[in-house]
Amino acid sequence: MPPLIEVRNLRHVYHPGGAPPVVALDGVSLTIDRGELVAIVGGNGSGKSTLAKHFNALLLPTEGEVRVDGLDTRDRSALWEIRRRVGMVFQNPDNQLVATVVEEDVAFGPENLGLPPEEIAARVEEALRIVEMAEYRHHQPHLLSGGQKQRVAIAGVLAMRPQCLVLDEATTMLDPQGQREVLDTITRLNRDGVTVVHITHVMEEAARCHRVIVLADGRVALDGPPAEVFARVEDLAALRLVPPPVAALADRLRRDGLPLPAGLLDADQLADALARLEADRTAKRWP
Amino acid sequence: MALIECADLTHVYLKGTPLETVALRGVSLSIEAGELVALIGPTGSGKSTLVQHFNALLRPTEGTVRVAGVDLSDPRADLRAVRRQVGLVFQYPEHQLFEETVADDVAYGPRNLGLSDDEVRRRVREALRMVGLDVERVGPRSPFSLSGGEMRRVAIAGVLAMGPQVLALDEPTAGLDPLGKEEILEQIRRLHADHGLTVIFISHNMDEVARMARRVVVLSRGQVVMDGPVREVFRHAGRLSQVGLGVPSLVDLMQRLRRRGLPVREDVLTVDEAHAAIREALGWSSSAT
Repeated sequence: MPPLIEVRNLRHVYHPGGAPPVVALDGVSLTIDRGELVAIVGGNGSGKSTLAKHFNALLLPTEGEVRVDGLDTRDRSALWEIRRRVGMVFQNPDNQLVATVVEEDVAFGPENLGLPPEEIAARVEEALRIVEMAEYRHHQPHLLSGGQKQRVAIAGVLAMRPQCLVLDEATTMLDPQGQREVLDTITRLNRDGVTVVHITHVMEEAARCHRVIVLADGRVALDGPPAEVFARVEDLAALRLVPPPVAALADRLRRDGLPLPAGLLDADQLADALARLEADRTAKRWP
Repeated sequence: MALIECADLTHVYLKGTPLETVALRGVSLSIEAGELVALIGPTGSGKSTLVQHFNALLRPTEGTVRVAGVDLSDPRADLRAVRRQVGLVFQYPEHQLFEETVADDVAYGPRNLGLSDDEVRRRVREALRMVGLDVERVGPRSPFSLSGGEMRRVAIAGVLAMGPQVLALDEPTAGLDPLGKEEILEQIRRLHADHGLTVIFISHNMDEVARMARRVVVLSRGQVVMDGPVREVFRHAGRLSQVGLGVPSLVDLMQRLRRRGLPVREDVLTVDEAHAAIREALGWSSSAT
């Protein structure tokens, strides 16, 4: 079976009217396998959103190629097959909802697939249940909170039964509660087998994914498990990223000489590590 | 006399229609000159509605708003003067940039005040300097050729060029990359510390609130539910979580350490403070280094 997403030597050049061309992606190669939970991070202008739009053929390569489940995104006849496999959720929840009732909004995609009504109803039901919005099925989307709107947007994509969900800064405009809701939803989806690509500026969110790809100047600068990527504190600053406060604190304590493991990213991990050290110390195993 | 004073402020959108929404209910709040206040609350809690009353962009349905003693509902109130006094920076303010050059964009406000060309030029230079940008370098450029963080600073400069005493910013760091956030926060800190501006900012990021603000006002469902010094507010993790908010990640860390039996203090705001608190509580003095 081919990889779910395969990007080879991808270059993307924008040609804004009159202005000089902008090289947004400059030789990106990467593979995303089925079942992965991947964060893509990078500074403004690093090429994150451009890359994401290649994952379901919203953009086509200037050079190089992108294959989704083996299908070349430049092959126009494969367009619908590609978009059924990879669904996108964007930043602004208000720009993505098209209907005046939640369940109609979620039904929009499957209706366009020309599915029979019972099948559509079943998919809507299932998608709303997965994002825990079933009780809001008859509500008006514009009266929901930001986090609820994004969950409805996710349900609309899920109703297409995609293999992969790409979220392009889908938590950026949400409050902390909304951010938690979306993050919990995608983590759960991933456990159930959906491949998730989460583009974010929030390092703590990236830390919850299994793999972090850092883009800089249209190239892949770092790619690895979060503990490995965030352990490279000096590299991050040069890539316009800032480690989360907890990671910065862990780094500082480590430089003090505390034998803390590398790659501690959230409060829970650091608290655990410190409590273990303290227990060791009181047991006189450490000065 | 407080610089900004809201008394029993209620705001109802679309009153008398089926879509009637009460955005603020009975908000009373005083902000003194020179304060640096964070306004936090979940989406829909009324934060943006509240700050838009500070310069009479929105009018109270009930209650009063006074700026430097002037009741904004008074028909004799000079609202143009109030809008110069209180500068409002909206969410994603760079979407409102429109001129061909940075200098023209920042000059737009002062020109409308009917100031002389020399004075306009002086204000543009000064406003750009206040956000850490050099008029010689960026002035002639198209605002759209700048980075996201720079564009936002240009938009803030456009408000500063009006010479406000108060700057109210609605989610000034939203959507910027981590370094862009740092740059904006640093500029805001300087505007407060070096230029004496009274600053009110809305944020969803508790880490940046902890680092920036002296005072935190918490809104929930259109009401002020907490208002106090930043350390005091973040002591109440339970109440914050009830209204859908959290505590800064370092406070969260300290609370977790305490639950694991380590006697650290909880009210830390910065990495430096957390570092000192851990070393102090655990007796890791210089011997550990």
